[in-house]
Amino acid sequence: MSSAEILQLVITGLTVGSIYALVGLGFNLIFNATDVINFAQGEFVVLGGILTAVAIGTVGLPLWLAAIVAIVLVAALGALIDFAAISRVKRGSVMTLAMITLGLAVIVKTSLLLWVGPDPLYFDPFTPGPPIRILGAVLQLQAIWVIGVGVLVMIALKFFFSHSRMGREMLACAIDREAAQLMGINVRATVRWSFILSGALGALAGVLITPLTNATYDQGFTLALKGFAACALGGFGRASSAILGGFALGLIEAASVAVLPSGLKDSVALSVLILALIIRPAGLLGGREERRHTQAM
Amino acid sequence: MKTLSILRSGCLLAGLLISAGWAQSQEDSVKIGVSEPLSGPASSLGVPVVESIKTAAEFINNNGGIDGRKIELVIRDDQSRADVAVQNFRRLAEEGVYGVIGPNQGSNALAVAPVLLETKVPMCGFQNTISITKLGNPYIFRCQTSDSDNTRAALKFASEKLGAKNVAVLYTGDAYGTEAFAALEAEAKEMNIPIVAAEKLNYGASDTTAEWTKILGAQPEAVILWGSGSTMSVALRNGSQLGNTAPIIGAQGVAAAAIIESAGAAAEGVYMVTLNAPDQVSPEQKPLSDIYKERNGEDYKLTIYDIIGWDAVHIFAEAIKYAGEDRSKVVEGLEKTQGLKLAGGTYNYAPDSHEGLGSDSVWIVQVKDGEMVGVQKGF
Repeated sequence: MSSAEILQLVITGLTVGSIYALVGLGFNLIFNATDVINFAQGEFVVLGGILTAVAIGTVGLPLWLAAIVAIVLVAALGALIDFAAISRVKRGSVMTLAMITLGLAVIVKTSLLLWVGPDPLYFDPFTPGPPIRILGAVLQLQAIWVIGVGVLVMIALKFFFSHSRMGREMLACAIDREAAQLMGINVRATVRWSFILSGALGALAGVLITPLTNATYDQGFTLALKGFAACALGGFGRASSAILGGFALGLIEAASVAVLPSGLKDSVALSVLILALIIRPAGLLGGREERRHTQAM
Repeated sequence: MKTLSILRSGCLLAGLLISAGWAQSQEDSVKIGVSEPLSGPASSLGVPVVESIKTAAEFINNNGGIDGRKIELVIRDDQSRADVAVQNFRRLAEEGVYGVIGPNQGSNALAVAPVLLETKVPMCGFQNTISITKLGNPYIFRCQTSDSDNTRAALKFASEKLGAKNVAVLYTGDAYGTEAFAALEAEAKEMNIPIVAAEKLNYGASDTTAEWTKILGAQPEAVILWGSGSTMSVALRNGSQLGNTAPIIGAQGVAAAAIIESAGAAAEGVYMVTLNAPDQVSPEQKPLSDIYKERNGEDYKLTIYDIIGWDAVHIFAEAIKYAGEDRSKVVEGLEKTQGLKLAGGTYNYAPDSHEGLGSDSVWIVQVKDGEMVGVQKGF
């Protein structure tokens, strides 16, 4: 395998990894505030992509406006999910809430099938033009957008959690919800905001990746699975670990194609995840449990 | 009082006559079952197929029916699910259909196969998947081209027309892709064309650049792309982004308007193995094309779904003509079908071959300005 091919696989791994990382970030937001794994996170992403594609293709909006409309709508759906379902559960365990999100994922998926049908939707990359060539390898312009915005979002989230009032309240809820409530933090509102933010983040991911991956009604599950794996690999509860886990997962997948039959890509990636979790159960960076006793973030 | 009773018996008589007439017309009709996905993920295939099935039945009925008997369609939605397809096939058999058209998905065809052995009702399936006619099931008839012909056509076209001395294969890991790849491997060996690289894609994969990197590393002179669904348009885009210059030959699953549209410029120039050239209308396609043009406007171009539904009804009509009122003779009738020229090509069945269309019906088309244009027919 030539060096150009290896570089190409690294670029592929980073591009795909940044997609996983973006999905993983959304998981983390809700997990931090509620301890719940939101199984509808993948649907947020797909919905973001499909709404943008429809807004551009059918309604004829410019890309930036279509993207904003999609992000606002999916954020509103996040709020609605919390308002109509999650907040109604009085004494539900984390498992009950997770099941609710699973049910919502199915509802979103089947509604999308009825609405736009099974064919892939697509819109053009943000910046038109041929891909960049680096030492014989190829970097798609849209991949720069995905990686770039992913990094920006990570920095913004870091700043949000350390410097903004709402972010600090969310973190407080994550560390100890009862204590946070006793300190006068409105836990219900915090949870609501975490759903809104994670809806917006999911939709943003969808807008960014659709020019690379298409948006199809049934993509949500695979995306959620990979995003979840990214979080688990990096360690649940930290934004930086979702990013690290995402990139690691993407690179592992690309590396497995280089040395093994490519049909095994998914199984290799998830086997590595299982192996990593057996060796380091809290994830590569250490997850929630460790963090509770140390400095959050 | 008397007039009233006369009136009453008159009414009764009239009623009797009407119902006798009804019973007569019931006997005069031939039931053909349809089990197709009208909802669920495969509905984009099932809906146009059912429309063309209805069109064909109407056309035959308006032209004298089957020896004077009218076709009566019994249409059931299989919801793109195997269990519902099985139920449909059982119920349709109980309702006394002469045969069933459908299902659409390969996995559903495999699911209904055992039911056919019990009910002894033949089916006309739309799968390219090679194995469906290799199950030893006498009731399964293929109303499509087989991928063993399609893969041979792809290789022949690559070597004879494009002058490729070797090929690379990119295929999906489902039955559709893996069976075709096995056929390609065997065929390539026979034709002495080396396969320099072969990569399997996961069905539904949203990135194929890693696989393309390996393919391009082998510097193939042609790339054969076999699969279906959204992944195919991603694969076309990734290939052109990575600077692939080798010609691509796609499967019938790639030759779908939605895939060509979402692949955009990356689909330009790509060849595809399919059943019809939308820019050309054969004499056998003319009646169908005329009906659809009247319905949808002069610019309408026939799709593969329009063709296979239309043909399936005509194939059954011929077999039922042979069988008369004896349902058990429909299979025999189908197996006697020889040289039946329809919209998709020439259908031939025999007791030892349920393939229907041969390699003479395979079309290679090329995408030009987003439209499929016929390049070569028959291999």
